[in-house]
Amino acid sequence: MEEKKNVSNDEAYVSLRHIDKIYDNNVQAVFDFNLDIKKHEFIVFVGPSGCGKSTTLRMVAGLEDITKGELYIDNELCNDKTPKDRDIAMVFQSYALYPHMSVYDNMAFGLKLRRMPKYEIDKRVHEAARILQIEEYLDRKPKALSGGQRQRVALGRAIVRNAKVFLMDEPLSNLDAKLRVAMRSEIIKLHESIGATTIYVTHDQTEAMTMASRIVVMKLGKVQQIGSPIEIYNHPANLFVAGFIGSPAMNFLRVKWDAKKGVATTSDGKEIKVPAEVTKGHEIPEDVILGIRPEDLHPSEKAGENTFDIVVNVAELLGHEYYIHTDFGGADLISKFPAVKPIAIKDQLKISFDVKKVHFFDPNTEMAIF
Amino acid sequence: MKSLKTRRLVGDIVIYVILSIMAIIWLLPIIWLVLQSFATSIGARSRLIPTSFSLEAYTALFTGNHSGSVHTYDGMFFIWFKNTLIVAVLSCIISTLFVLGTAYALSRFRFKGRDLFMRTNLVIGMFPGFLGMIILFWVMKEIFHLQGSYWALVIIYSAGAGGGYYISKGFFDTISKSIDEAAEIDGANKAQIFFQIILPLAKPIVIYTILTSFMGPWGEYVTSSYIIGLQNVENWTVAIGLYKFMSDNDLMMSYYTQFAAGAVVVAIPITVLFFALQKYYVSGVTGGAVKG
Repeated sequence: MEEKKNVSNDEAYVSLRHIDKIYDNNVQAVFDFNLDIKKHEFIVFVGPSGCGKSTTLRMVAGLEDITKGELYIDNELCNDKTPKDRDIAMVFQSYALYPHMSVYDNMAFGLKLRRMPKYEIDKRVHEAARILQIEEYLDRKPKALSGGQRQRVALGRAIVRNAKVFLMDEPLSNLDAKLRVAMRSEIIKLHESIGATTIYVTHDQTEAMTMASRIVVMKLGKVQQIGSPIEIYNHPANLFVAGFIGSPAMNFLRVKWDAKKGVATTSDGKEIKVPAEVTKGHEIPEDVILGIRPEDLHPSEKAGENTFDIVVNVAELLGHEYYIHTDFGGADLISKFPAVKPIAIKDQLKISFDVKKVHFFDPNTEMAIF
Repeated sequence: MKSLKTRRLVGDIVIYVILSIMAIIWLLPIIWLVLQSFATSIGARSRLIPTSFSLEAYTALFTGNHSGSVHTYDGMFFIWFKNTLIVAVLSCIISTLFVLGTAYALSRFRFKGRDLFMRTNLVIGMFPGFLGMIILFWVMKEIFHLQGSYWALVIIYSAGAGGGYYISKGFFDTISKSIDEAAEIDGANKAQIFFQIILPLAKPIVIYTILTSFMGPWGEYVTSSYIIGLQNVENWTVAIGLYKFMSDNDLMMSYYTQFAAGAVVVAIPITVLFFALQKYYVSGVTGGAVKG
């Protein structure tokens, strides 16, 4: 199993190379997954359900066989290693605590199996309990804990192991919205303090944006884009990523592009002028999809270039701002308006496009032009 | 209002009368048996309440001293009781492990032939067990050379026990698979997961399996009688012995009260076992059912 010489990138702590997963019923769940993870990184796999993110995580854990490709953890080939020999810890969506054991025993179980001396187990469990603020519950059974406390115990079980890699499979999905936000920041803090290399799976793009050092966006078993949250937000690689990351989702308009004038014309004849410095160096076909995020559409008082009259279809008040839906260029255009004055359905408003922030996508390949 | 009350009262009375009659029908043979077991051997029979009471039948059962003609079965009951206990305890331990092991494997592992095995087992289970009587007899006689010995019974009772995995598998299926996976990642092997995680969580079904796999061999007559054979008196189980007490015409008279006493004694271990385990059984079934 000595294959260390093959490791191309010395920095890669966990390395997934050309990994495929084909189930027994010939359904392929993951296609050619490639990723190098550096030590202390917080990687988030995000995508809609059925995109293969959990399957990939379970292959790293050793709970699923790798059909093709190689998995290296700390420069060791791990394809054929059992989960216990991979030195990983995992947090499950359903907590997966042992119901018949106390919180203490839940956390100590893995250490006992590894025949760690008692005083060392005791030290580690108490240290983890202190970090997670569950010291007073150590004698309780999981049944007597709330959802958030149970998830802390599940985290504690991972922390005490001091494993090379932490794997988290939608750990916050079972919590209510408020607790989810609280636990989210706690996991970030936890990662800051213990610095464990982490792979985190979620379908929630907010979790991905807020927690990740790097995001892996997946769809139907294929990696769509890998990058830091800000890269993915500002430079989505394709239509799917552009629509998946960001809330509300990016607006897409089918337009005719006139390269000479630098004008994109929507199906209902509205002209959006895009300055030359934005499009410079890019070949834009005549038929093209223009994308703009709701936050790049601004309310405007006076008419002018790239400012349009709209009629409000739906106004969703969130407290500090409105999401305004309107028919624009044959699509449902969503924009954000600050809630300084009330907005009602059928109101007439003006919006102006921040044309420096527009994206263009090839309608055939769905890939981003820029 | 009044009529509703009356109707309810009449309904209750009818229900309770029916229940009482059923309870009496059910209890009468047991009470009768217990009373007969405390009768003196003369003048018992066919009377619900015997004319005279004594512990004669019980002492005779275990020591063989009784007022009547001396017979080869005198004092054999204790040996039969011991035989039965050995058979039942061993079968219970082995078949409990087999049943739970089979159930766990079929619940958790996916392997070639799994579905085929389950389907075949279902079909085989539809045939009455004693269809295999003759083949079992020859297997025990010619291959194991155990015909006539109660050890053969241990093998017969345990060997096929795994086929009765259904209820346990159903229970294991309700335990989340991610608990197994968590334990696997924690470093447990399959055996550790089974014994340290799954079995404690499946306590009610473990108790149920122990109870049923003890009770089966304990009172079983058909297999034990033809495997051990009527000539091997010292290898008999209590079921054969007690049946013999009552089926031999020349024994019936002198062994009648001993039969009753024997039947009472035989009921004791099961009763004790059931009461001892009932607590876990019930607490296991209800504990954790309500979210805390």
